[in-house]
Amino acid sequence: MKKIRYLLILPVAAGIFLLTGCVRFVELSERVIVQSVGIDYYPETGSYRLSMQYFTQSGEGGQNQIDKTQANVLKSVGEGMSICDAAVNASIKTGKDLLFSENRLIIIGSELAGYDLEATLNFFVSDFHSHPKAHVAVADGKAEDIIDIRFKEGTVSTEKLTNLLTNAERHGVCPANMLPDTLISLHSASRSAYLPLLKIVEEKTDVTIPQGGSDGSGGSGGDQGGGQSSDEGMKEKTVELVGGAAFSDGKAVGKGSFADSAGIQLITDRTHELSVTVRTDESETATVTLFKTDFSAEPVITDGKLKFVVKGFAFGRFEERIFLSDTDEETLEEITRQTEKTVKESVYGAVSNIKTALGCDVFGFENVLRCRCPDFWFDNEENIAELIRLADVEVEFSCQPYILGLQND
Amino acid sequence: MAKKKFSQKPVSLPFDEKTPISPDINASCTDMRALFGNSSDLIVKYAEINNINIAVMTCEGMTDKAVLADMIYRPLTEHALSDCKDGNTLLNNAARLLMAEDQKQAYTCGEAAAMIMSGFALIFADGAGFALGIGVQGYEHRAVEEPSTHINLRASREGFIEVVRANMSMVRRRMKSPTLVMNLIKAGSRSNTDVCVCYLSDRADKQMVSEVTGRIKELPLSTILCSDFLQAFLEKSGGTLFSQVTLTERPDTFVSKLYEGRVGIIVDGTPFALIIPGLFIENFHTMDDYTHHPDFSAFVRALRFIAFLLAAFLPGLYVALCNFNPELFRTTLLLNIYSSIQTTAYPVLAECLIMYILYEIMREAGLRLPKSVGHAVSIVGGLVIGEITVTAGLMSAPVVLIIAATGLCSFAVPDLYESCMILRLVFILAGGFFGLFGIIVVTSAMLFRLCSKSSYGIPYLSPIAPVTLKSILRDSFYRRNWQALTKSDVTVSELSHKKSDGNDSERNG
Amino acid sequence: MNKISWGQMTVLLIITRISAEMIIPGELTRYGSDRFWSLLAAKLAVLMLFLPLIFLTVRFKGDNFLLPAIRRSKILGGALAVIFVVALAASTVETLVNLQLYVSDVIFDSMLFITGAAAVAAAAFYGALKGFSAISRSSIFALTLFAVLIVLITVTSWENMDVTFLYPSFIRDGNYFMKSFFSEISSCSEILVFAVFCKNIRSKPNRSVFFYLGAVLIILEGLNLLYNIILGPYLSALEYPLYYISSLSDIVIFQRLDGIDAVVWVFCGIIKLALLFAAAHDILSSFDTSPVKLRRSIGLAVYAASIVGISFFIGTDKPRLDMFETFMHSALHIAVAGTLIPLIVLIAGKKRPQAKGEENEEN
Repeated sequence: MKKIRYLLILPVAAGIFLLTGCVRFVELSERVIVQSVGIDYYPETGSYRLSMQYFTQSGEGGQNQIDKTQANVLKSVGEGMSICDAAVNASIKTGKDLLFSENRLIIIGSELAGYDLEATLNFFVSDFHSHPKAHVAVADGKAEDIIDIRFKEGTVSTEKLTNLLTNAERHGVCPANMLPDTLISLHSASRSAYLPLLKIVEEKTDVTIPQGGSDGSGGSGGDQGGGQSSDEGMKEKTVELVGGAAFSDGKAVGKGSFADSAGIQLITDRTHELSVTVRTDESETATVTLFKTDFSAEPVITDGKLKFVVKGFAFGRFEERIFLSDTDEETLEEITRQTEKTVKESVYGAVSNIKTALGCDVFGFENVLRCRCPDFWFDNEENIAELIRLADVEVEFSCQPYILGLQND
Repeated sequence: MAKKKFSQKPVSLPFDEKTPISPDINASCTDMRALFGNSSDLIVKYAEINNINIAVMTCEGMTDKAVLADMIYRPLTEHALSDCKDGNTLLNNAARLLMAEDQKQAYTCGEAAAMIMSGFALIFADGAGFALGIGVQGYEHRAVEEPSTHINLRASREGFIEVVRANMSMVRRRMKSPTLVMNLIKAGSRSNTDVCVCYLSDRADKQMVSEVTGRIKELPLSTILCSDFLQAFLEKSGGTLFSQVTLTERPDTFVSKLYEGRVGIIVDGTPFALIIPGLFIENFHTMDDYTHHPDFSAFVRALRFIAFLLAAFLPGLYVALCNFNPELFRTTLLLNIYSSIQTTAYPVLAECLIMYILYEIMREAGLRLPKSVGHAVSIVGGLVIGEITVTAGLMSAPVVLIIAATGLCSFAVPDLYESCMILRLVFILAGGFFGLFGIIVVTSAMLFRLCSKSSYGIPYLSPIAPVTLKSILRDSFYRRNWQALTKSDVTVSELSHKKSDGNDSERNG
Repeated sequence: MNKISWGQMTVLLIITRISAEMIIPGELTRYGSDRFWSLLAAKLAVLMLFLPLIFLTVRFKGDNFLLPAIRRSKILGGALAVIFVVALAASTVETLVNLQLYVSDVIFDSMLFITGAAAVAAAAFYGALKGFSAISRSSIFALTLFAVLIVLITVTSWENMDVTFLYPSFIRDGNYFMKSFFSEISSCSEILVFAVFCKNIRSKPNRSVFFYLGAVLIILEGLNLLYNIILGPYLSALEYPLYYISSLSDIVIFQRLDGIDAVVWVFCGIIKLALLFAAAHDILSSFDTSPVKLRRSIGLAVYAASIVGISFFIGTDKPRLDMFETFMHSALHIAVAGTLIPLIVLIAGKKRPQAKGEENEEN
């Protein structure tokens, strides 16, 4: 009897094992680990150009060790009528399967930013290997030019740019949007998003690897951008954060300054620390670092007219202690008032420039309105984006800075 | 036509064991010699007392010669047995005279032979239809030493030895309770091995005891050289990857298990005693857990459990992630793995299998070699296989590390070493061909198997599945302190979820 | 017959239900409070659907749920059994197809449908052969894994949560509400499982229904809350919200939990499938009273193979799959097999003739 029972299990087991031949998998060594992606669009040909930095091991003195002084990336490009098509072509050129699991940065070219952002980003969600926590940024120009630049810092070149974005957010300069944040933001009524704007600048610096450097990164199958080292004054091409790009209805509608970016970050409560410098008199300045910022917006509807009251509070500390040691109470209060005024202006400016002028609601006003006044929201669901755009905003802010360390009376 | 070299039939004994002992001493001796096949170790000493011929039969090396001389030869020759007119009276008087601890009478040649082989001195007398057996056992055996397995830091240093009676005494010394029952049973139709079934009559489940005893009595084995021979017959399923019978070399562990209402079996000729039923969770417990602080014990138990999981799953998981889901690795780890496999000769699955097989060969080679040569194997394994294969680009460093780490982990749970070894291979294949999906499918099947197992009504995975909260909280992952342990008492039969109304829910589950 | 406690049955029912949560059809993932209300209403409806079974367990205590009907008339019993097995098979096919689609979408895109389905069915078949108590014990591990996973996801997603995504509202989209409501009921194949195995519960079988419904309601509403406060309006665009959330969770050992999440769901799915196979096996056994177990095992193997075949036929063709899903989302099979059949048995069933001893015992 037992033999017959085993005979029952045997065909099942045998079937499964025979079917293992039908399972296709790609060895890790036959993949390229994509680190960052730049997407450009050419409206004249209607084609997409995908440029990628992918990991290559430039080890020294041991094949299993990664040399951190090298960029450790190669570049690959692909063109196609869609992003997917471009990716396939890039894969064909590279000779290996693309693995987006470690993709930490998606840079949208300025041309593409004028088209639907969500459709672009959906490519990175459709593949389950893709890393969902990739930074999304917009290039002030071609995305490929930024991909061309190789940095020495970090295990791989991309780390420099991701660190740049993370650090900017930490200092309250610009919100560093990740892929999920951007997608969530794009699903609001106004389909808005605010992404960091990156620009190539020439600067005397030592962080980039000049073309033809020791890493031997010649770019496989793709064009190399312009030479990164300049003959005059040892200037090199590097990347800088220059503000943000505002998206409304899924398309880029304008640019935001650092002050706007800081304002957005404050209202959305994503500011870890923000340094505000104010002028105390004609010759002297003082810096207050704000932390533990807490902003909340409250919708007020009066006679069918919508208004948002943004209230904020922050703790802070006075910097520059030598100057402060002989400063009287009144001056400190004046610095506090100035700081409050600066923050208020920054927030109000951000709201005016980004929300009212560009129709980009990245401040979460829609959520607040739906949460606090659901009836109003549902009654005006069709044109809620427009109503929010036209709504007045009142900003209240107070801060409580203190002098670091023990004080003498 | 090819000539048959050996007979395929079993060699039949030339003599019937049930033949009664003849009153004629010469006939008896001839019968016994015939029964032993004129074996050289059968020693027959003839003498004459009151004109009655007697013979003393012993087995070479099974008796203590000094005791034999003091207890039998001297009293028989020095004391007057003048009133003995015939062999019957002589043996009856001798039985009163010789104050032996162990004294039996044999009426058939088979019985006599069994007693001789157990270290008795058999006295035959002319005219007596029986033989008098006096226990003068005294064979060479290993001294009580520290066990070679299940080594503990603070617990007793005594381990079982090969002699069943010595082992019984070690158990009794630790449990001086009249409820400790030790039943000696002869098992093995040919070897007549002494098997001692031990239990505490007030704590062990009667049904379990009778079932175990019944199984031992009905063992179809002709020879029992080792306790593992019995193991397969005591498991209902006939033995699988995870054994439901626990093996121990430690008397203290043995006694503690008896106290939990289990049945212990000591087999003559082996220092490993069996404990029934064995639960999965017990593989992670050691005697030291009860001597250390409960928090520390809990930590160590958790470590053992993690070690088991790593030992079984890690290589399979590594292969699965490399081939199918590399996105789960941390970035730097993935980049390092990626770098190291760029120049290796084999795919990750093949690498893992080769390293695994090499490792097991090294372990097997080192295990049975003399210690001095064993070191050489370690050097060859560590240096040549480990270092050179990586530098030569044959294997990648992560694979070598993973296989080495898994080997180390499996030593942390020695009782599950064999299971881990097999599971590791299965998971490497499942992970290599089907990724995480394959691993979870195999794990599910394995879990179904484990959950369906029960030993004498006790589910193998209890107290976790089915959940017995009292036992889980008492002494499973966390051992409570001794004050708490003494307050509540749990026997293993409580895990069977057997209801007093006879509803055998979960029993046989 | 192996019996389990009502608590173990509760765990089993919870696992059966939550394994269905791995695939929420794209059209049913919706940001907002509609799903909250549909879940609540569906659970109340499911309680109603359970009522005939609850009465059945009281009236015919410890009996196979079809046995009273068979006692009345073998034809009636046979007909009810056939209808029940068809409903059971439909649920099994749905589970297997969903499981396979989920696997190929999130964890193993290059696998052939038939390979994955055969592997999963083989494991489930093995579980069914090992018996009901083995499956019920395994479900404890599944629930533990599920709980650990949810805790990990919640803790690691703490920073992504935004309570302003929540807003108070009642049913806003009636059409969506009804779709979600019926989908919820259609995925309650645990009612079929309970019908078959309620006789295996040691005591108080009804308690497991109440506890399971309560627990499942809390779990599903909790998950819905989690989806809403993490994903906000993006939830409407996702098919596997929990999978997406878990991909954002970094637990240091693994930089994302999506693979682990998929593994846990597959495990729950295999347990559910094993349970459905075991239920079919049990019904088969109630008609085949011969002591030869092998015949029933072969019967089950044939049944499992047929399920794999049908799943392959349905799952590999989009129009066929859509048609099948439309039928399944009507929840007709649950209403007929889970409620109507027990109701018929309750009305037409015949009690077991009591032995004298039993009478005395009861007295």
